[in-house]
Amino acid sequence: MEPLVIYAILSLIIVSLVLLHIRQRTKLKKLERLLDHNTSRLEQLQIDFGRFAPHEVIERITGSDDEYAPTMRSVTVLFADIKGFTKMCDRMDPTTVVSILNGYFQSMSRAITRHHGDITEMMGDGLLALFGAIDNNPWQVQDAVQGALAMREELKAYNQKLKSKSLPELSIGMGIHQGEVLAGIMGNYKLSKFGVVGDTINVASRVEGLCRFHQVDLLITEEVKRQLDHRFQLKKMPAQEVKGKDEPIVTYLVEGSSSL
Amino acid sequence: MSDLLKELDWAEPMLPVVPNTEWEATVKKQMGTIPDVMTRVSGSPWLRELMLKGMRVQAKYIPKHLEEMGTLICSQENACRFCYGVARAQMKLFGYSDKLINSIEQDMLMAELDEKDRTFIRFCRNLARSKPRPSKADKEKLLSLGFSSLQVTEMAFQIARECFVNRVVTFISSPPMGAFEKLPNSFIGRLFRPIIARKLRSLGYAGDGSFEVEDGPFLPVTKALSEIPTAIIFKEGLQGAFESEVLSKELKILMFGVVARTLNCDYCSTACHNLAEDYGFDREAYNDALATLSLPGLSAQEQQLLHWTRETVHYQTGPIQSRVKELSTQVSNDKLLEAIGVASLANSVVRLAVLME
Repeated sequence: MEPLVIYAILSLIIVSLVLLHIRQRTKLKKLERLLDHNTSRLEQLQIDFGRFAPHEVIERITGSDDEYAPTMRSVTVLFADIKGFTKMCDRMDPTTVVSILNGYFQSMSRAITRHHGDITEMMGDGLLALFGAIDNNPWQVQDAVQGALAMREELKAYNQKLKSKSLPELSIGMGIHQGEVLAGIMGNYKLSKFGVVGDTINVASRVEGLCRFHQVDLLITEEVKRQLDHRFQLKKMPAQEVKGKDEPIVTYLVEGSSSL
Repeated sequence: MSDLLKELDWAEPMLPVVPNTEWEATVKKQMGTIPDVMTRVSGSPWLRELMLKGMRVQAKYIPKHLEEMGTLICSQENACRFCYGVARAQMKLFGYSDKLINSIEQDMLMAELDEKDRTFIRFCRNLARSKPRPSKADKEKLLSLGFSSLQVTEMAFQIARECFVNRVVTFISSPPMGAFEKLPNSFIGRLFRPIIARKLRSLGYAGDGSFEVEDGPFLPVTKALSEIPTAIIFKEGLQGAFESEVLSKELKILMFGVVARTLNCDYCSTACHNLAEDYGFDREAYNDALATLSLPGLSAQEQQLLHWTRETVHYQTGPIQSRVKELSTQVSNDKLLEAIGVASLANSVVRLAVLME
């Protein structure tokens, strides 16, 4: 074979290899860009998702293979509800109602997270906050009561704001109970959420309902009272029957705390 | 600069620089430079010594690449802007590629590692995170994969040590070492990379061999570390922290107790009870104080510090730095510095108790 032909073939091979290399590099760069883009999207998704579930839950389900299967644990449950909210909705423009609600939830959330709690549900004007459901929290009872007292203070400040805008002031009822619940991710493959189930939840909800009956804003059960120390000022309320319970429930009004 | 470095929250320093010429000369001699944090911890003799050695510890039994990856992962887990920047720059100077460092950052390296290294990385992350702390089974898995008992002990020590440094630097919010972070990409850095890497490794702290432990706080933990030469820093740190008189002994024991309770460590909770008794702290008063996070004998400042200790176990950088900022307006600088040291040490010692379970 002529040397010229050999050179030509060799040159062709070299050029082909170089072209192949360039093509592969371009492809690789494209893939890296795609990966970066998807990583940023995933991070953004994680941030957005953070508005729908507690941060710790998202961290746990995205950071590991853990499915967060429900387990029994001791949790302190706080229910809060705005008194007379349905009537208020009938009288007001829906946009104003939503704006009032958003401001209210923001203030309450600030108080709860400051005291190591997590809001896991908002149902209309009601909210469910949990203490010790996601992370081990040996001080969950004190945290829940102090969180509720902080909510009382936050509401006072929020009402001042509402008043200055000539909007109606809010008044709330809060109920706290402590006990065992089943906590974890529940649902099916189409729709799941972090949640808790158990009688403790029902009792907390009933205790919150008793706030209307006793005309107070913050009631706790005997179980909660037993774990509080002398810094909390409590007032025993008359035992009251509630739906789903054979025995009347004894509750205590939390008047204040010397540590706040 | 890595995207992650840009994303990490970082506040202005919480504590002032305390000039001390003699101390700075010692730091310069041992580290080749004076990191900003060393000038802010200079007011506490035990803490500054622990930081000086703790920032330079070199592993004896675990492979170099695993030690370096462990350091990077730990500072990433703790979102320490200062330590992460230093660890990243150091890895580049040691010859790791940007691609490899990025893949560690994005947790993509796992697919390329073998089972043994993957389990090691997972152990590092889990111990740093401690949500929950790694179990006895995790430790046994490492042993079954061929890591020796000494290697597992050294691993746990390395992570606990890095967690200590990360916490101290994060709580103080010491400014990042910008010039050092830029070094690997600079002309000088590229040209002299192997020489700089050799110099950096030569500045490491290797300890003086195994050490004797006969007494002191958390004796079984320090005893379990006695075959790791560099781990003497924790023994000395614990001794120094408990001998120091800046904070009351009651507060320091309670701070350890709070961390042990938050991390659900029965072993350390018992050790704290025993320590409380050794120091003449009434058992009932101790239990009450731990249950209510208050003790009549504590000053208002110490009460604040006890409450804050809870927040040092699991934290996000932005909020914890805001909280320390708030504390810095209520607590004197010497007390705050000491509390930062004690809380960081408590977090490390309780994490280390994984060796005892």
